[in-house]
Parts: sequence; C-alpha cells; structure tokens
Amino acid sequence: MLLEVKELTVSLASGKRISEHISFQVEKGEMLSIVGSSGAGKTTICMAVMGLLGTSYKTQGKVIFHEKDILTMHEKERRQIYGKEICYIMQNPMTAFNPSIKIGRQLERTYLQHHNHITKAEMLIIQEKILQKLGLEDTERILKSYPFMLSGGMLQRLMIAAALINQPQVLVADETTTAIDACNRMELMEELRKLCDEGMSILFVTHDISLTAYSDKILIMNRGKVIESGMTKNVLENPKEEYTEHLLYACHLERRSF
Amino acid sequence: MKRKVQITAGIMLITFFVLVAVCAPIFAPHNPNTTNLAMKNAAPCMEYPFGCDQLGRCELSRLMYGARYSLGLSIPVLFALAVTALFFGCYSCYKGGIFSEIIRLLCDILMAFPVLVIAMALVTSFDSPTACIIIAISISMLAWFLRMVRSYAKTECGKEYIEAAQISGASGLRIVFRHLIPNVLPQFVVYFTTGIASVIISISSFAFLGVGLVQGTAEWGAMLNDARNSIYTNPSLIIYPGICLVICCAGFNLLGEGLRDAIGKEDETNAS
Repeated sequence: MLLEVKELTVSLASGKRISEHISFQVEKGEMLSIVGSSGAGKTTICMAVMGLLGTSYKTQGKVIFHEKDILTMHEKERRQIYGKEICYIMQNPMTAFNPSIKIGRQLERTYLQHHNHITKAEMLIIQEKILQKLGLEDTERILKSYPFMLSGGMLQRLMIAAALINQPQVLVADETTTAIDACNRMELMEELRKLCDEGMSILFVTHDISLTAYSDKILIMNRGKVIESGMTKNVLENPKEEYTEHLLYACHLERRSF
Repeated sequence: MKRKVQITAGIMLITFFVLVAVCAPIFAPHNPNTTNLAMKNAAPCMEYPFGCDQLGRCELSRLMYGARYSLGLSIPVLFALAVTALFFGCYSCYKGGIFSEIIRLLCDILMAFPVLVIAMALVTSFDSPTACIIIAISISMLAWFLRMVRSYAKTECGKEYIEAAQISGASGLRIVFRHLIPNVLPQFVVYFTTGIASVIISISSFAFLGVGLVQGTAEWGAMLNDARNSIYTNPSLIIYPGICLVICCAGFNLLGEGLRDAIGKEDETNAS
C-alpha cells in the first residue's frame, strides 16, 4: 500500500468537525477521485495529507505513506518526503508562484531542492521536456517570463510541471482543472491518466463528477463525511445514495442545457 | 509619467545632497568652524557667497558640512535598522507562536515612547552625543519598521506561493530569504525612503533643542537654533538651513511617493 488514510478527522479548535472518519487507500499507479460540492471538506483532506493545516486545526487519525505515519513524523523527515515523494497541485495557480522570480528559476529551485546541482544546459533539457509533455509550446519565452505575464491556464499547467519535475510517487491534485478550457481539460486528464499508467498514484479532487471517468476509484463526500465509495464504474453506473444520483443528474442537466 | 518625474526629481535632489556631503572638504570655501569676528553677520560677498553667521563663520561651508550630519547619520543607521527589521519581522511572521508575540509586544512597548523623550533620557547616561542620537533613533524607528514589515509579511504569508514553497520541502529560513523578503522589499523600500526624511528632521530637532550634539556644531538644526537670536537682524541665517532641510526631505519624500505609485501601478496591471 502506497498511501493510506485511516480514520482522519479534522476539527477546528472550537470543536467543530470539518471532516469525520475519512479512510481511503491509494495503490501504486491508481487514480482516486474525491468528489463533492463546495464546502464538503475536500481541500481540508488534501491539506491534512500534505501536513499544511496550521495550529488552529486539530487532526486525528493516520496518514500512512510507505508504512510511516506522516502526521507524527519529525519536520525534517517530512521535508524530505514533500516535494519529492508526495507533490501537491494547488487550487489557485495565479497566486501559487512567487511573483518576483522568473518561472524557469522557480522550476529550477524546485528541482534543486531535492537533487544535486546540475549544469544549466541539463536543467533546460529537463524543463523543456516536462513543459512539452504538458502541451506547452514556446518554452523559451515561458521560462523567461514572470508569473503575472502568463495566463491562468498556462500557470495551471506550469503548476503541474513544478509538481512533476521531481517525479513524485503520489500526486495530490486539488481542483486542478478549473482554470482550463474544456478541450485542454480533456487533454490534461488524459495526460494524468497516462502518468497513472506509468506508475504514479494520483489523488484527484474535483467537484465535477464527469471528470472522474478517468479514475479507478471514487469517493463521494458530503458535509465532511464519505457517503459512498468504490470502483468508479460501479458507483457511476449504479449509485446507491441519493446524493450521488443528484450529482450525476446535475451533471447531465448541465450537458443538456447547451 | 508623473511618477517618473517624481522619482527623477527625488533621485537628483538626493544625489545632490549626498555629493555635497561627501565633497564638503573639497568644495567648501572655508573651514566651517573658523571664526572671523570682523565679518560678523556679513552680507553675501565674493569670499562668503552666503554671508557669515553671528560669529563670522562662513555660512555656505557650514551648510555643506551640515549635510554630513543629516545624511551621514540617518542613512547608515536606518539601513542597519531596515536589515534587522526585515529579517526579524519576516521570520517572526512566518514562524508565528511565542516568538512572534514577543516581537509584537516589544513593538508596542517601544512605540509608546516619543523619540525626543528617549533622546533626553539617554543624553544624561551617554558621553558620546552621536551614540545617544543613534540609540534614540534606533529605538523609536525599529518598532515602526518591524511593524510595517510584519504587516506586509502577514499578507504575503497568506499567499499560496509560500505554501507551495513549504510543500516543495523548503526550510523556514529558505522561505524567509528567498520568498518572503524579496516580495516584502518593494513595499518596504517606499516606507524606508520616507523614513529617512523623518529621521533627518528628528536629528535636526535634537540639535535644535541642544540634545546630543555639542554646541556650535555645523548641523542644520543647530544652526537654526543659533540663528534664533538674530531673527530680526539677520533672518537669512534661519532661511538657509531651513531651506536645506526642506529640500533634502522633499527629495526623499518625492522618491518614496514616486516608488509607491510605481509599485501600486504594477499591482493594478497584475490584477487586471
């Protein structure tokens, strides 16, 4: 088992629970989708898995990666895992880059965080390869520009590039496809699927149930609780809960309105 | 366009005063402290272009040497303060917890004392007048600088790129130096330049009140004080140092305001 979340409960200092008893497992080369409407606690789970929740939250349960609990790990040890083994793609690409450093330099620093020093030419090859893989052309210009010079869609993909540059084992993608148009979204999902087939595990968080068709397993959340889970095909074809049916219905309705 | 004019004017004025201060020994026509009683309150002439003061000292030379005190004290002291404030402000904001609270409390306590009160309290316990001025300025300005840096850093800390750096495995110090400080710096530079202007004025006001500097020092504030007695007989002695103070502070303020507008513009284009 690569990543296992056991009975994860996140609550505020006041005692209000944001998510309760969340458990799931992600195996190597598997894509797990977490679906739910806004405020269902999807992002909170991602943050908890990434150890990003501040002191105002209380976390109970276990997040086990390679048989070690990340939540109780020492900070130094954790730093070795984040960015190298587990990477996170942030929700808002516009603010996720340092505004005062050029994109190329930021990608380089992300890489050097976990690797030994390499020459400029070698770095450029790595960067170009990864950008082209994500369908970004004109790499030279992109690498030399500041974040505010690029569009949201481009930054979104660069965000993914920054996550992939260290070749992580687990990728946590939080609403990654929201800033991208429908056409590119499909391409991106296919790209993510391909990464999965190459052995990467992906935790894919979305509010759009139609995108889960690319994933192996699905987890449906409502108000901080998991209400349905299983193989994507089974859940989408025979939903057991009313809420799941509601989500699917809303998705169909959206299609028909065109 | 307007901000360009402001920035250029500010830089030109500052450069002018810095040059005057640095080259004072070369360009000053006389020693600023040599008295010539025959020329008491003399009108401007070829030898004394700005006339002489009540002790017959060359007014122009004294004005030129005066720039050395104002700029020579304020810029290095503030620079050191800025570096300290940037590091501690950003680091405490990023780390949070008890360290951050202590710094916040310290700021609140220091801000309660006006700079003049601190200077007067210190003057009795220090032999060296410059040390007294430096410490008084440090105590009063450090709190404001830390406060400013912390408020800027708080906003930056909330942005996602700091989180992104965290989850890419960067250590605390690395985040502070590579991500936080470079993004706090532009806003802080604006505050810093306007801060210099206010410090120049406080140094002069110390000298005017006779706190710190030795009587008779060629400093603008001290010169204003000396000229008070001859306000009716020779008012130009008050006007010259006053004008110097105004123009010098205006230079720093113009630069600061221009920079602030320039940074504001950049933010607007970012948002759109």
